[in-house]
Amino acid sequence: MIGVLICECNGAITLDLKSIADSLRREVGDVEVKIKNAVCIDGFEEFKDYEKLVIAACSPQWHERTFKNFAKKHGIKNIYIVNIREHIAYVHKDGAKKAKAQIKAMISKARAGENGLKKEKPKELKSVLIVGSGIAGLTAALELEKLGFKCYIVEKEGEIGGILKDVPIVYPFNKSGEEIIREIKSKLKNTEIITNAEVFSVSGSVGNFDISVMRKIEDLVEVKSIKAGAVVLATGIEEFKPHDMVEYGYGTYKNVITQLELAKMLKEGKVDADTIVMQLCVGSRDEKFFSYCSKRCCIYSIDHAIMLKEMGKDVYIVYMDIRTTWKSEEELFRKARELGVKFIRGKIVDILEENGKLSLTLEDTLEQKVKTLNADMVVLSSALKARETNTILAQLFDVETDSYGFFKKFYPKIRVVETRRRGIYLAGAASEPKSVKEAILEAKAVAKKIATELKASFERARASVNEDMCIGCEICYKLCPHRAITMYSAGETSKAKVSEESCKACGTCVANCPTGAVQLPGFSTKEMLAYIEEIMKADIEPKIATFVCYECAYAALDAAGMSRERYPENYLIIPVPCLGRVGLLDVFKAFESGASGVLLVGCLENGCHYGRGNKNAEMIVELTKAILEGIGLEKDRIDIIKVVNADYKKFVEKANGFIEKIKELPKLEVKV
Amino acid sequence: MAEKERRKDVNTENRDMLISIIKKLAKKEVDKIEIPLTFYGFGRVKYDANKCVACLKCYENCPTKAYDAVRLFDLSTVKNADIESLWWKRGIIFQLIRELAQKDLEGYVEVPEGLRGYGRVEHNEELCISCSKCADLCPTKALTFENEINMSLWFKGGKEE
Ligand code: SF4
Ligand code: SF4
Ligand code: SF4
Ligand code: SF4
Repeated sequence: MIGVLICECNGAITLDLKSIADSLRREVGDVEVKIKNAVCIDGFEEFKDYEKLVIAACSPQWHERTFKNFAKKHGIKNIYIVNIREHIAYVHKDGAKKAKAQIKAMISKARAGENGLKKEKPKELKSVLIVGSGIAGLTAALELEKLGFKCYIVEKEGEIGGILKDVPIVYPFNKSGEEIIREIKSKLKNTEIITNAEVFSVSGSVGNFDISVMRKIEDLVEVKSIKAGAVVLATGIEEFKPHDMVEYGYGTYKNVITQLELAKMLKEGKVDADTIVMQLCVGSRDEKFFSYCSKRCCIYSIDHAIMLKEMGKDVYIVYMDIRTTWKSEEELFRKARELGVKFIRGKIVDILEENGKLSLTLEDTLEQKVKTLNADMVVLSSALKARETNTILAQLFDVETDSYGFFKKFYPKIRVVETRRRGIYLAGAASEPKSVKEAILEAKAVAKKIATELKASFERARASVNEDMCIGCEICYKLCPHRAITMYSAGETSKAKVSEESCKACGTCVANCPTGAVQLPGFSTKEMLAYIEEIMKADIEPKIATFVCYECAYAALDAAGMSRERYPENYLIIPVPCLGRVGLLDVFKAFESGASGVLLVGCLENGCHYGRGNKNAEMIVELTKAILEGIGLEKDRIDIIKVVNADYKKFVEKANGFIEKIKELPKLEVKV
Repeated sequence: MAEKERRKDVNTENRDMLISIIKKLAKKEVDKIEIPLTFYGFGRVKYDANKCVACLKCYENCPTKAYDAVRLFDLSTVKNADIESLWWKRGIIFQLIRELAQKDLEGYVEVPEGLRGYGRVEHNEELCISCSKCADLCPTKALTFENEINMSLWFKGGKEE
């Protein structure tokens, strides 16, 4: 017996719930249907000890957790939530038919399987490997120590401190980079720092990585194996050396140096020049080199200018824009001007050297004039770029880098210290240029993240492979965005295996496995097909099978509901964890079962929460179009749209347009 | 036949289901369709005998046992192969055979059992599920993937037993 509970939500769900309940009782066998108000407050004791319960209520965004807790309390193993509020009552004039169909489809799914939530094995290793010993790496170690972790820091140079160790003064600390580094290091109790060392092999997964580190000691090489539960990539940043920018003569003229080279001189307290000209944005914000803003150059150039001024020098700063983003930085900018640092908006176009003196030609873009200037030293605030070694590390740790070689964050706004691979995290400038303050913040965040990740044992579903059915075609292995699948040889063939820790339950493997050997509970082939078949029995025409990912797309539909944006009820919702879970079989099953059109709704281009589910889905759509055309059907029957929750209007517009196209097409005929 | 024996019971359940649905929906039967991209499971294997070095990787690793290993060395491949693009040693051997040949290089030479490096494979398309494993493994790119689906096989239906 499957329980069905419909929530009245204090009258917010303006559907004829009683008649929905009656027809469910009439049309579906072996169910117990009840209507109740405010399930989120009162729970559902009356369904105590039910194996499966379908709850038709608000979006799981609001009360999934609440319902799960009630389920635990009442001894109910599997709950399934149907969103009849945001996705139906709030957006359709008469949503009763759709609501009934959505509930029935969920009952069919419940009947076809188990939601498969399983507790994770607790992870035992309480150690973390950190790559890089700059401010981010060291702070992460310190914070992790406080949380009871043992840390290993691998540093490829002989000295710790990264780029910060050369910085003469760091605001708002008013200390030199070296001092800051020394202070943190002195606080470390349970951290082993391995210098002159590089990672050269990695295996295992979250909770249990085996990492080999190669350490150079004079001419010898020592190999060290480290066991770690998690890894932090804190490789920081390096300075671009602008040899290729001929206008500056860097590398040819002795007195044309970079800002970091000046930093070292300032640290020594010795700068051999009276008139110093700084050029900002060298290589940064320049399509030919690095099109991004390096973010830190403005401010540390100003720091240095103030120091030089205090030493009695004459200082010019040639800039495109001055970007001071923190409160204290704007104050420094003001102080520099008060001290008499001369700011010129423009760009140096040429430098000539004669008898050790530099004569500069520069374009003043405010006065629109070409000017000349003599100087003893030119300092180039050169772009800050990703470490060269990032690409190798990305391969070793199986994470991604962007086109500049910075590590890619899992999700740019809300999951900034995570990578796509569980157990591998980011801190500091390894993902983009950052201030010391931000690097420290991220290091602290990453420590907390690791603590929760390694301590928690979530309840979640994971894919698994039926060994007897797997034929070893490797499709799942090649498509899994999280490298959760490995192949092992089994006699004449090979077979796939899913790593429980690494699988993020996106369902991409399930959608594309030709045999059905790999399955994700809750979204197995059987459950999906049962769901699709049932929902396509809805008494609505034409029917549009709407595959909606549980991330941005589901939320966008919720947002449309919250703002009461109406769209036709022909869109029958088929939720999937990620659009990667939609395969050709699901699409064609929908057509076979009565859909006149299929719409896939997923996250934005680079916003897929599982990496590339939306890209796979795009390919599935292309293929479907080609096949539809090949078999004499209209290729416009399928489409895909990528949305973000704030932009729900895009979905509503699409929904209103797509249906018009579908209405023009004849109903599909299915041969028996 | 032993070869066919190897293929028995290769499970392709989901794919079979998909194909049978497509058959039910089809308004017309076509031989082949062009597809804008190859995606795991879709695309058509193309075999170039002139590039094949009969390493048998494809034969051994194909999940559906779609390949037959043929113990016949096609002499015309010696004539047709692009020596420059062959591996160095193989190039020398082919060059030598070309120089020594007293008659036109054509016809087949039987390859002794157990000897690799000579001979060829035969791809049975009706068994193929286009997983691309073979093409990914093939060291000489003798196997490539074409943007095409051989629909006639789908409509003919059923696996060869
Ligand atoms: S896709 Fe399916 S059959 Fe192929 S290796 Fe993976 S689990 Fe096995
Ligand atoms: S569900 Fe997704 S993450 Fe898990 S094994 Fe399959 S493809 Fe990989
Ligand atoms: S893998 Fe390539 S070279 Fe080897 S036998 Fe097959 S087709 Fe020939
Ligand atoms: S594509 Fe896959 S199934 Fe087809 S022949 Fe190659 S390995 Fe075999």
